Amino acid sequence: MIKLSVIIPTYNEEHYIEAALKSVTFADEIIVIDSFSDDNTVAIAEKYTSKIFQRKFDNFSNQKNYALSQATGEWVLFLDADERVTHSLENEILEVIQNPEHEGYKINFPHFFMNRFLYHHDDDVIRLVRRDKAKFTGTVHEKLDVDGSIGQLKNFMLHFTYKGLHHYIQKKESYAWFQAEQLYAKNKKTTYFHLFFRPFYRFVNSVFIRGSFRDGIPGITVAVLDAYGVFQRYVKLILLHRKMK
Amino acid sequence: MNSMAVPKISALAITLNEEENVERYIGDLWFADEIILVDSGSTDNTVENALKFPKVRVVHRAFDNFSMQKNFAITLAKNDWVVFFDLDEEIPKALANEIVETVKNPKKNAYFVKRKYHFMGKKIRFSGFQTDYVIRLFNKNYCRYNDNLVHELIITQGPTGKLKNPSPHYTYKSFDHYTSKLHQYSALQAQMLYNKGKRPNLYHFFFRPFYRFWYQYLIRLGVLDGKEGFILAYINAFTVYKRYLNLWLLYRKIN
Repeated sequence: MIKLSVIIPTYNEEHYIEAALKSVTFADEIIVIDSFSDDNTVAIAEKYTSKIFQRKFDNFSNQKNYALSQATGEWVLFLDADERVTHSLENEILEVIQNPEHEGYKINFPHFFMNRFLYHHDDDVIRLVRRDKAKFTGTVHEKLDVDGSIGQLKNFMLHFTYKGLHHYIQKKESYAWFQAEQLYAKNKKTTYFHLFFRPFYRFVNSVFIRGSFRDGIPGITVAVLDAYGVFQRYVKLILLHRKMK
Repeated sequence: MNSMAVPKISALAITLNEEENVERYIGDLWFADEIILVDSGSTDNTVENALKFPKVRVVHRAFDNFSMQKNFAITLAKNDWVVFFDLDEEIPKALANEIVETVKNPKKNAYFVKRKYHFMGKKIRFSGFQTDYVIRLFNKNYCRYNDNLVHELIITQGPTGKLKNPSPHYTYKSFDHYTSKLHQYSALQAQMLYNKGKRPNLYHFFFRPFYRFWYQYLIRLGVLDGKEGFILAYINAFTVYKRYLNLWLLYRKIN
């Protein structure tokens, strides 16, 4: 059995996909699972792999589980098109799968924002798993379930999400609608507590507890925008109850 | 001219994609002798809907900023007396009659109108809107817009007065639409500060938004407007933060 498969889900990623593919050429196989891109994503991917599958997108779990079923490696690394594996992360992955102590490994993602990495605003996500121990569940925010113990890699994954301030805020705005609809479905109502305290708590938590102030103005700004996202969620819940936009 | 006749008044407006407001707006201007819309390239039916009415003239001009656009409109007016409302401001019958009566025998060169502001479907009585007076009726020979890129103001020579009847103001279409207008303002204001060579500092980032919030919420009594008062104070404080953030980004050439 081959050792390592990389799975990259794509949809219209022509600006990002090539660098992602280049960063994982060390893998034994690369699987691109594409939701029928109408740009050059597939043509670019063909230069790096022959294992490109197109599947109509229903949700992330099904899409990634399908890709898992096509993979043949003992280990699988999940990568998004706007993520890059650095050389030090590559070396660590290759070492770990030779002598694994766990069934899955988390990788740390510093938040890329305003053209710099915010090391005090990061996320740990399970990305490297033993293929036969892994399965995705959940429709909206897919979760990778691993049958076994989880370890942590030391090196960072690079993740280039920032595409301008306005784009970033708009993403928060549409996400707030989505969250408000979930609260609405549970028949929740917005209270003063939600409006006053929840955004404030989010800000304080981000700035002081996670320490984002150490990343300067971009660090503070992420905290401000996170709080604004929470605030918007409750404003939009009011609007849903009023049948307004 | 018979002194009881309707005096000649030019109605001016600048438009961009206002198809849902334009017919109501023109209907509100029954008293005007001519209606001139300066349109900056609407892609909806604004222009078609406007031209269904006989007194209407539409002139195209590419948008550069609000002041230039509005001053250009003023140069097109035939008459000395001009009303210049935004399309989301209504002119109820009482206000229209007052305008006509005022122009028959004007004592001032420009008149303020009080706007009644609506947000998220609620009338906002406080939050700073208790003093939301704007010049909407003026003699064009004494008035021009200043050169602010946003929040342009009319500069008047001579005395100004106030009209008694208010104008209901419906800017709210959706929350995202409302905030995206504020994003646009904050970017334009940052550009103005950048052009003046201002640099953002910690006072701007920390004190100014904080102050804006408490000023609007407590001093201007936003607290009496309920949740909407809180929401308005919050998004305005956020807009102040974003003004300085945009300025910070301009100096670093980051989007």
